[in-house]
Amino acid sequence: MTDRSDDQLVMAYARGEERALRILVERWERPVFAFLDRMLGSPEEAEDLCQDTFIKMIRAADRYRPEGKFQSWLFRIAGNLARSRLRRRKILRWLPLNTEHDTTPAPGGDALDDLTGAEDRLRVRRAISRLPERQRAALILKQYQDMSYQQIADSMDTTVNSVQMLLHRAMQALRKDLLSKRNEP
Amino acid sequence: MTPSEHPTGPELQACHDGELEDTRSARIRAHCASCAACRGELEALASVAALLAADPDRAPVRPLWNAVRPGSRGPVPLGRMGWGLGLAACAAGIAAGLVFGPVDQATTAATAKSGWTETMTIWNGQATSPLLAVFENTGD
Ligand SMILES: [Zn+2]
Repeated sequence: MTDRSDDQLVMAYARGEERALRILVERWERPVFAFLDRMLGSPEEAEDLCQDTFIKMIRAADRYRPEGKFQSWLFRIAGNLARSRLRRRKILRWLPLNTEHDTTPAPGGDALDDLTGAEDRLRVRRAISRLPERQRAALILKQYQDMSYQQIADSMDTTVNSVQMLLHRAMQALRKDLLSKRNEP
Repeated sequence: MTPSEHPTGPELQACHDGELEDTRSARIRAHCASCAACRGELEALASVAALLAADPDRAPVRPLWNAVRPGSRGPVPLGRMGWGLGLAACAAGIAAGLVFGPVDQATTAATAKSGWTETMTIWNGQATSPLLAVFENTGD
């Protein structure tokens, strides 16, 4: 049952098989959560948006075209939600009377300060959180989802060349951040 | 590729990621065999990738299925952050003399129109000057 492709499962769900949908959700909830967790630097927010991602996916399932691009499609939904959330954070940091929320994790800030874990892991997470949003998305999709440039381009609505450039810049920034600090006392 | 023709940074990135055609990739690898600078670049990429790979995924606390399955009671209420943001938005909206709706619509419209918009200004409907300039540059 679970060896059916994503496309087969979406089609089965469209024909009324709820179990197919459950398999899809269980197959993808961890990768989508992990993507959102790294995008937002907050597991609580990642869980919220992970839920929203699947609800949107389910609502749009009848419009899905089975062309073997389910992963790109799903991460496009998740990426759009992450982008909206990050923008909303910025609006709220700008608006007046928002002083009680000064501790809101910033996408480019130290959102992960209060998390425990190995020092290296924290350093990696911080470095990723400091990347510009698009570079961060491309990097996470490549490094942690093992998506091809074409798949990343599909999910980010851009070109393969643009993905290549985003990844180049992201990796150079991470190199500067991680490798140079590695040798510091 | 002659020994003096170095591949570009993005090309080395694509080579590292296995995204180049075989012949192009072979040429770059051959170049790197005799060019310490480019070889160093590829090695640095591998080092960064190894560091990144050492950070495992975190897992969600609870399975999603019950919250998202059709016919369920819909999304579980937003976590602390969601409500906090919502309340802050309302408070700020009232203080600024507008409801939050227009801000949200403007945001949505700009996002839908331009995708990864870097900067935008939100205008108060009656005012002749921008009410707020929001969004830091998140571009590359
Ligand atoms: Zn060279």
